[in-house]
Amino acid sequence: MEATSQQDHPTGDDSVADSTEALVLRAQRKDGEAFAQLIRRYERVTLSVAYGVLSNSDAAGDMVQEAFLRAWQRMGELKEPARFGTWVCGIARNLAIDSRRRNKNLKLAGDSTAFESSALIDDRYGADPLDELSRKERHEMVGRALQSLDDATRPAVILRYYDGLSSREIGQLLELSPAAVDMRLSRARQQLKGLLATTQV
Amino acid sequence: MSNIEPPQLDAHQEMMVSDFLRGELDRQTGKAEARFREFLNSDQQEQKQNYRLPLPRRGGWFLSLAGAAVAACLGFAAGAWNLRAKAPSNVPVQNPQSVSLPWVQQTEDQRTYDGGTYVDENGDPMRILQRRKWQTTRWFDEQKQLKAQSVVPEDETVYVKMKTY
Repeated sequence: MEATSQQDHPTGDDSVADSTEALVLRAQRKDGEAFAQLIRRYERVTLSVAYGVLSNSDAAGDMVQEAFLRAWQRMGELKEPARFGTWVCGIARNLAIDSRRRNKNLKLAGDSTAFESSALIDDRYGADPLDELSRKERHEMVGRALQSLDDATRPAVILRYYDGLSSREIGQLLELSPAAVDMRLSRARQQLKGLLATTQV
Repeated sequence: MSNIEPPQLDAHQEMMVSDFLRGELDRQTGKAEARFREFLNSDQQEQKQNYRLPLPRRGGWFLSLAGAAVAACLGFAAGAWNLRAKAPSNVPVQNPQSVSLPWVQQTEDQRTYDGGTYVDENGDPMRILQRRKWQTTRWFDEQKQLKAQSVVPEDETVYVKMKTY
């Protein structure tokens, strides 16, 4: 999986010395370095979960920062260190839901300007304007397609296609069974297939 | 293991979704760690300041009052110093608790030392003045020609707000 190769594995399978459990136990003794390592390990999945709720990357980034700060302050409450990922994703999801409820004016993915990311326009000076326009349209189309998925399905799709996680790993983070994850992914793919087919050249 | 065989997106569609998500989310990574480290540093800084300097939290009015008090005390100290210098030095001094004598004089001497500068949590510079105070009480019995003296020392730290330009 391309996405996971760039980071430590977020759901286990790590060596004993820097296992999630060991890092959590150190962080519970207020070891900031151990917690920083946990952030590096779980930031992408937490970001995926928050983005799954908010559909706005800047807002999701803010929620993730807040979620990790809260997690640091409440480390003592985590009774099962191995479930740190699930726990911190839960904090991020709740914060994101609260934020969405509070902020009615949050820019959603349905708004075409929401997808004008820096990555999209990074080579604008050298690119053919037609290619650029086509890329932009494709980007907005994917954004709208993802936005059309229901709230329960979207995080699973993002965890699969951004983080490259298996159904079992997604299930662990979202507290779902692998079968339930597969069901959601199946439904999402069906929907995305139809929506994205129109964008193919 | 689940028995559901999910329909697959084709390679192009998968790439479109992955590219989209990378474009949206990659620029957000690394921020949480940076924010955490910032929080950690400010937290440690705050704890340090609370330990060393609890006084500035009491407010600006306290500092103004302290400045005025320092000025008044310096004046008083100068006067007291002159008075003490005039006292005869060849008379033996005895412990005042062992003799009962009529009270004659009580003075207070102060010395203020520059303790350097400090920047408070709002970024305002302050001068630290460390003050040592001695309260001296003297007794004198004219008939027995006896003198007694008691000196009580006291240390204080005062923060005086400095002008900024």
